[in-house]
Amino acid sequence: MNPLRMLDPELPRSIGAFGAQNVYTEVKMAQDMALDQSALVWEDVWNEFSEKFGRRYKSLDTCQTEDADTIFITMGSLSETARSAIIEMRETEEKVGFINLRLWRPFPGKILKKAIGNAKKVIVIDRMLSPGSQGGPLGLELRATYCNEIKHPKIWNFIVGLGGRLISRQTLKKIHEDVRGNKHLPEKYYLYDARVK
Amino acid sequence: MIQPEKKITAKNIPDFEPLSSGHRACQGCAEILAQRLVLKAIGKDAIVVSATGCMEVVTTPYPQTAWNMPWLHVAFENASAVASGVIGARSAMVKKQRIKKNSTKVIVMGGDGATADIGFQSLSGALERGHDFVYVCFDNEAYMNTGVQRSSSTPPGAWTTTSPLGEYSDGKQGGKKDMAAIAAAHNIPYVATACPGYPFDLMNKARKAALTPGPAYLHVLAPCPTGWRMDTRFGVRISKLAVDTRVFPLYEIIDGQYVLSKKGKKNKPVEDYLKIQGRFKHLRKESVKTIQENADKRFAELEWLAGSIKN
Repeated sequence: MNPLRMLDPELPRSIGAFGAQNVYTEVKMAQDMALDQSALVWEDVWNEFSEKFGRRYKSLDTCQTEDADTIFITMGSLSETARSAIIEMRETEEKVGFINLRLWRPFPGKILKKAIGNAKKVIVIDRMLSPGSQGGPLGLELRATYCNEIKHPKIWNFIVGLGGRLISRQTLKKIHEDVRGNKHLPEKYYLYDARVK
Repeated sequence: MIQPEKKITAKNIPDFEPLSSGHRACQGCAEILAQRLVLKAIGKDAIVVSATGCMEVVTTPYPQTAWNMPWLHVAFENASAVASGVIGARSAMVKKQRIKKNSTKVIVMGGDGATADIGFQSLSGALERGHDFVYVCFDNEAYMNTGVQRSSSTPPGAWTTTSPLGEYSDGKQGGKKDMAAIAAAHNIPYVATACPGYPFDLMNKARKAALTPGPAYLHVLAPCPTGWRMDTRFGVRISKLAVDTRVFPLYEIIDGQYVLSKKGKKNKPVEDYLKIQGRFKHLRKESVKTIQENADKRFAELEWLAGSIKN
C-alpha cells in the first residue's frame, strides 16, 4: 500500500496549508462527510483486520439483551465488569442485559436502537461529565437517538468511576436496585456514589 | 565538522528558487528574504517542516502555495517533533527499501514565538535526541503574524501591543531570551547566528548547518518593518546595523568552540540601530545607554569565548 501523499523533493507538495474562513467550513464539511461515509466501510475494514490479527471488533457487543427488561449500556474497560455483573444478576432471574458500545463515531444510532429493541429501561453508564451539561456524553447521544421517537425506553444516566474510583459488580447491582426500587426515579443523570455533606 | 566544498559568493549563487513569487509576505519583509536565502543555500533535496507563524500563513493560503519544496506544517508547538517523525519515517523507509537514499535534509523553520516560547520543549527534545536536522529560527522579535505581541525574544524596551507605553509600562521589561546560547547548551555540533543583511554569511552558514551530521541550530534575525514600525525599505539596512552595532553579533559555535564571524566589527553606536525603528522611539538616554552597555558586555563575552581579544 502506497501513501497518497509523500514528502518527496522530486514531487514537492505542501501539506498542512493555512485555511482561514474562506475554506474552513468546507474542510469541516468534508471531514464530517468522510466520517459519515466510513459507516459504509468499517465492517469490511474490521473483517480484514480480524483476518490478519485474529481479533474481531464490532460496533457493539450484546449480552442477554433479547428478552431483557433493563439494559445497561457501557463503553470501554467497564464492559467486563458489567458482563459478569449481568451474569450474576441473571442467576436471580432478573431480566437484565448489557450492550458494550465500541464504535463512537459515526455514532451507530440505528444499530444501537435495534439492539435495545423493546427493552423498557435503559441504564447508561458514563465515566465523565462536562459540568453544566445535561448528562454524560453517551447518555446525551442516546437521548438524541430517541429524540424523535414516540415509543422509547426510559433512560437513566449514571456517572461513575470518576478519577478512577472503583466500579465493581456491586456498584452496577446497586444502580440496578435503585432504578428498580424507585418507580418514579426521574430520567436524568446522576453522579453516582457522590458524598454530599 | 564537514566544510562545504565551495563557499557561496556573488559569483556562484545557486539558481534554485525555493519560493515562487506572489506569496503574501508584507512589503519589505526580511524574514521571507532570509528564508529564501537559507533554502537556496541548502538546495532542492530537502524537506521543510514549518511551525505556525508568518511564513506559514503568507506562503500557503489554501488553495495556493508558494513552495517549490516538500513542505509540512502541523502546529505551532510541535515543528521539531514533527521533523523527528519525518526523519524516523524516512530511515524506516530506507530500511524497507521503499526509498533508495536518505540524503534528503530536513529543515525545520519557526519564528521566535515558535522557537523560544511555544515550540521550545519540542525543539529542546529534538536537539537532545540528536536527530539529523537543521532548525532555523527566524527571529522577528515578536508575534508579528497575530499583530505584534511580545515574545520572550522581544528585546528589552521595545514597544509591542502587549508591552505598550504608558504610565505603568515603558516597552518590554526583562531581557531577550538568548536562544542560540540555549541551543548550544544542548552540546549540538553546530550553532550559528546570521542575518539577511549579510546574505553570503547567512547562506554559507545555512549550508554548513545542513552538511553537519546531527542537529544544527541557526538563529536568523529577521527585521519586520510592520512590527518594528519602520520604513519598508529598511529591512536589509537594519539587519546590517544590528550586526554593526553589536546588538545582534554574528558568531558560530562549532562543536562547542565559539567563532566570531568577520562581519560586525565596526562597532557603531546602538543609537544608529534604535533610532530608525518606531518601536524604540520612546527610549530615554539612560535606556539607550543600558542597551549599549549590554551589547558591549555580550560582545566582550563572545570575544572572550572565542579567545580572540584583539584591540
